Amino acid sequence: MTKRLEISDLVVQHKSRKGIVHAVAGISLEIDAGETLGLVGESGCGKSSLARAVVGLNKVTAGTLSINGEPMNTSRHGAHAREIQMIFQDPYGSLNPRLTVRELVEEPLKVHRLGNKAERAERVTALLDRVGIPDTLHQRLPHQLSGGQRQRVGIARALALEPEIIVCDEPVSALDVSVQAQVLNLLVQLQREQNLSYLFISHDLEVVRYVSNWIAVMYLGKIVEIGPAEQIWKRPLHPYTRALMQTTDNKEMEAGPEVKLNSELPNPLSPPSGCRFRTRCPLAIERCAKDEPLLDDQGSRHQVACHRVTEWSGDTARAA
Amino acid sequence: MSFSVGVGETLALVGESGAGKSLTAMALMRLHKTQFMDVVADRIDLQGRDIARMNDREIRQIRGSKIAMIFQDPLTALNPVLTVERQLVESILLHNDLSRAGARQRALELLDMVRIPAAKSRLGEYSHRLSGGMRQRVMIAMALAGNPQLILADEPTTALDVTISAQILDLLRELQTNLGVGMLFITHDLHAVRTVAQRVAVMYSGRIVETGDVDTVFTAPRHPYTEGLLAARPHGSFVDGGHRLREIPGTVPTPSDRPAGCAFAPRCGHKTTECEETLPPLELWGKAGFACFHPLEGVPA
Ligand SMILES: Nc1ncnc2c1ncn2[C@@H]1O[C@H](COP(=O)(O)OP(=O)(O)OP(=O)(O)O)[C@@H](O)[C@H]1O
Ligand code: SF4
Ligand SMILES: [Mg+2]
Repeated sequence: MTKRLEISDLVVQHKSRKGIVHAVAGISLEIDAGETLGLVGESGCGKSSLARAVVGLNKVTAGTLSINGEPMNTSRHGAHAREIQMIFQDPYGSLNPRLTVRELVEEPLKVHRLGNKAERAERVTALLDRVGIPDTLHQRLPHQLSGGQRQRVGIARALALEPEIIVCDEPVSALDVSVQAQVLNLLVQLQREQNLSYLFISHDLEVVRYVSNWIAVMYLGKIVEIGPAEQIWKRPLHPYTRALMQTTDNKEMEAGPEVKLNSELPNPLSPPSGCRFRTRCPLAIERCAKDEPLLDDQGSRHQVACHRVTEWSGDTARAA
Repeated sequence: MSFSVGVGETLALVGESGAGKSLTAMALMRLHKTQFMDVVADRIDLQGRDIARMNDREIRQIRGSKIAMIFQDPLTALNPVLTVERQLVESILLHNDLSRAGARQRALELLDMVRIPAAKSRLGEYSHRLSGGMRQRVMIAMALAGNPQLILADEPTTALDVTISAQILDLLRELQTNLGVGMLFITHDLHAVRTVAQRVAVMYSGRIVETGDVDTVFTAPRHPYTEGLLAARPHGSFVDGGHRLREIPGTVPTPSDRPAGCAFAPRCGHKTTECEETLPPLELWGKAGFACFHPLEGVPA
């Protein structure tokens, strides 16, 4: 079966004065229709670089992307705007401060020359209604809205062109807990109604678990573990994933070994040889500095990139 | 508003934006001049002394010696043109009767205490060259320089990654046990509250609406806002089970449109006319209590 979105061997580099950062260092992912892939990892591991490359906001250095089996044109920004859209953490930065709520939602329809004036007006009303923005707010400017309302407008804009895929980059991170619930409910509801596929990025593991069918864990530009969301939650096999899970109220982590990370993310300009996680890994052995561990299937499409995964995943699992 | 923090105890002040958490801390440190606050602690008996009437020198002595502060963004609190050593040594000298050499020795000890690896080699660094986690550790070391009895920590882990945040929370817990410092921990992160605090005060729109020990408040909340806040966090999978999250409709009122009665009334499922007209007082039984006319049962679900 063809996948809604397929990312193959994606590489994204950023050039800066200090050198080249391989923000995405060869990543393959796929998302089915109507499903969510959650992407987690520490700040600077490359999540946004990947997200932005997928929607054409970052240059793709190497690799291919395809939607429903059709290769994407990654050289022209906006070439796939009707199929794939993005929702940002801070809708404030992505919304033109001089446009009203209605104008903001109409904009993509205008750019793509969809419908006449009356049809567009009707569509804008329907979209704003769908995301829960009352009439009284339609003529407001972005700065006259609360964070939650702004995010709803961002969602209405993303939905305007009826895309099949939405990349959500930390869509609720800037919101208060009580408002997060409102926006998450809206997102999962819209997904059900429109069979949307989400690439959902968040540093909040409980949020990711809530929305995702699959979870991928990223570390310094690479995927270190990927699998069905509940399996990753209940039985993470990579030491890094386990360390992340232990920072949550995940009850499954009360039993089993504790993985403490004592240092911080190494300089992305010169990632460690072999396993990129080895400088922080309590299980690292000599081999980890020499060979790069590749993603390997542990059953039920649960893949892990760690040389010691079998020792560690067994009943006798213990921290070194 | 008043609350107490005991020796080696952490009280978490939790609430969403607009709850007035930081204002409370600022008032405590009199960074915000108009408010006045009492800190009651077993050892830092500031009660009865009118902080508002102290002169700046007295305030400066309290700040940093009896009470020290840790901010969300250490960069704004650390001086960018001074090295870690300079800043640390200066604050040590300000609060202790030590020679420069002694202060330098003490600076190293503090950096070790906050678990900065290769502390010696970090002394010459400038704060902007440090990572977020390291900066926060330096900030904590600075806070400890005056041997405070109470630390005010205002969202100290909010800007950090989960793994780094876990390290800082561990460190704060350790200091609490080893040094017996009391801590007022301001946060919006419920997980952080569970991790570091023994007691919690939930704030809504400028007031404490519920307080008590963390376990009780989190398992059997009495105030509808506390309960709503806890239920709004995801606790499972939508995809695998499909429950909707409990929403709290609407948003926190701005100070200008705060209602006459209970500030939570417009968003509350239990409200009556009484709630809309009268401000429910915070009723305390010992150190626990809530401000609500229609409290929940208080038995764990
Ligand atoms: N435009 C850019 N120019 C140079 N370097 C960049 C650029 N954008 C990102 N980077 C670098 O690429 C790496 C990955 O950054 P990215 O923003 O993708 O991470 P992230 O996982 O989204 O982090 P966060 O959780 O903080 O959003 C980082 O080292 C970052 O400094
Ligand atoms: S490959 Fe080695 S260093 Fe990498 S995660 Fe596994 S044990 Fe740790
Ligand atoms: Mg990002």
